[in-house]
Amino acid sequence: MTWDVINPGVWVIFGVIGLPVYTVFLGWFLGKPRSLSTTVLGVSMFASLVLSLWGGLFALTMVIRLLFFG
Amino acid sequence: MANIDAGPDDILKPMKKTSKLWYLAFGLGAAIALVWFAAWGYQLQNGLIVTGLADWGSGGGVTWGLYIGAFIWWVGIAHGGIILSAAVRLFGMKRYQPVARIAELLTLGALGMAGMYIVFHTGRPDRMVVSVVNAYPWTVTSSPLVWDLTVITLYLVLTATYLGLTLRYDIVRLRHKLPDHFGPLYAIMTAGYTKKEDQIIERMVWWLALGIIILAPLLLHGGVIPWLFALLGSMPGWAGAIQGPQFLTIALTSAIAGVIIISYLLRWAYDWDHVLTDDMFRGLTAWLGFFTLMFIWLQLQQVITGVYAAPIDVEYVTIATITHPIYIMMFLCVVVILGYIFAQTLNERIFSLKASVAASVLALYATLTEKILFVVEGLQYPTFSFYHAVPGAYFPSNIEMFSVVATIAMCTLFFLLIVKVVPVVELHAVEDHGDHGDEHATEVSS
Repeated sequence: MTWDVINPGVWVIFGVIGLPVYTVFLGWFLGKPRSLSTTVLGVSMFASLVLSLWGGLFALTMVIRLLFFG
Repeated sequence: MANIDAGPDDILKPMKKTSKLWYLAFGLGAAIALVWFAAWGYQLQNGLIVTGLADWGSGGGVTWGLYIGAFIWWVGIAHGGIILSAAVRLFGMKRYQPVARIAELLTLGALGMAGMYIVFHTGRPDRMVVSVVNAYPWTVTSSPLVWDLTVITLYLVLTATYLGLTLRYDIVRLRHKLPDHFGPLYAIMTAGYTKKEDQIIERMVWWLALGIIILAPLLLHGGVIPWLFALLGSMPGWAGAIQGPQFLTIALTSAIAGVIIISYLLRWAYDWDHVLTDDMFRGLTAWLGFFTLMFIWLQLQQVITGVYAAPIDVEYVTIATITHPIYIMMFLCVVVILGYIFAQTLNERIFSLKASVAASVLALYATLTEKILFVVEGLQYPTFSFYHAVPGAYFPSNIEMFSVVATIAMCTLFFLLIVKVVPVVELHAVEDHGDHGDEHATEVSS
């Protein structure tokens, strides 16, 4: 069975769910009109939002640890 | 451009006018949030046992209850916002342009509340980020919970990027009319702006809209969220491919209801009759009717397949669900909503904003209770009687019920604050009326 080699999450997340996200980035980089600086702005915004979301959540959970489980 | 008779000054009203009612609503919302944080602190100190959800040994074997039901509900509300906005951009549905940004903000606010419910439901939230991040390379291959976190992260970030990019245009043009105390924030948001970027940004948000309109309905609320349940074959109340479309229709119903309520409140608070028009509310009401009809149609599919010559376990959980007072109440709500929307379609004079808002409140109530019942009944009626000897039955504790009030209060606080910081109606929606500060944009770009 294929499942013995590739778990479903691999193709579900990186194959199917990733598609719309890959499409966005391909559209940004390959579509016209384009400018590298504006595209980089979009990519930086995307990356910094991912980092701030999980960084913020990490900080919140550490505060919870300090207050309740220290 | 939408067919409305308003100018830039109209859309800046919430930033310039702060009424006593705003302070009252803010005070009330903040007080409720503070009481909730005290209650949550109590839960953190004593464990999830204070909710009765802590163990298999209580509540009839129910370990997922209101918290998870409300999590799905908030994700559902979050769903429609950006979908509406993406539809405006992709399909030219200009009629809804004035409400597009309100809908995007609803997505961010509601998704924040959904995220909080994951934290509320975790016994040791302090371990959450570390355990998810460290184990991600392995868990992502097989855990639907990790798929959920992945897609919710993508959805939230794509939405926020969309909002961040579209706001640049508005802020640059309206900067001279915006409050100075947020100057540093506006400077960051518009860093490096040049007028040349407008066309490029418009193309980039078009691609974002395309990505979101595929990701959110088909892969989030019609994908990884229902898969948390639909993949568990031993829970006949949860399992099955129909959960994807069923979750999606419920999400869209609650999302449109949320947009109607918030838009109505903004219209009422800022005399925005000419910005958020009756015509737009009529359209939203019709969409509410359509999604509610889809929601109840998929319920019909489940009920008929669950009672007509179904396997014993499926029949058992279906009968238990459809005879439950919560389910009957949900069904009655849907009948009232559809009755009103059908009647106002036949006779325009029956339409009223207040009736549409009432229908939306009923829709939110019906979708919340349906989701909680879905979660609980699925756990109470598994195929194998794991919990046969488990005493009791689940009923939400006070702390769980209060969490719903608290998250509504926190989402309201989010809106009360955000209307003070950025224009909640896109400048594009009113642009042909009056001065839109283009000269100022030229100054900035040069």
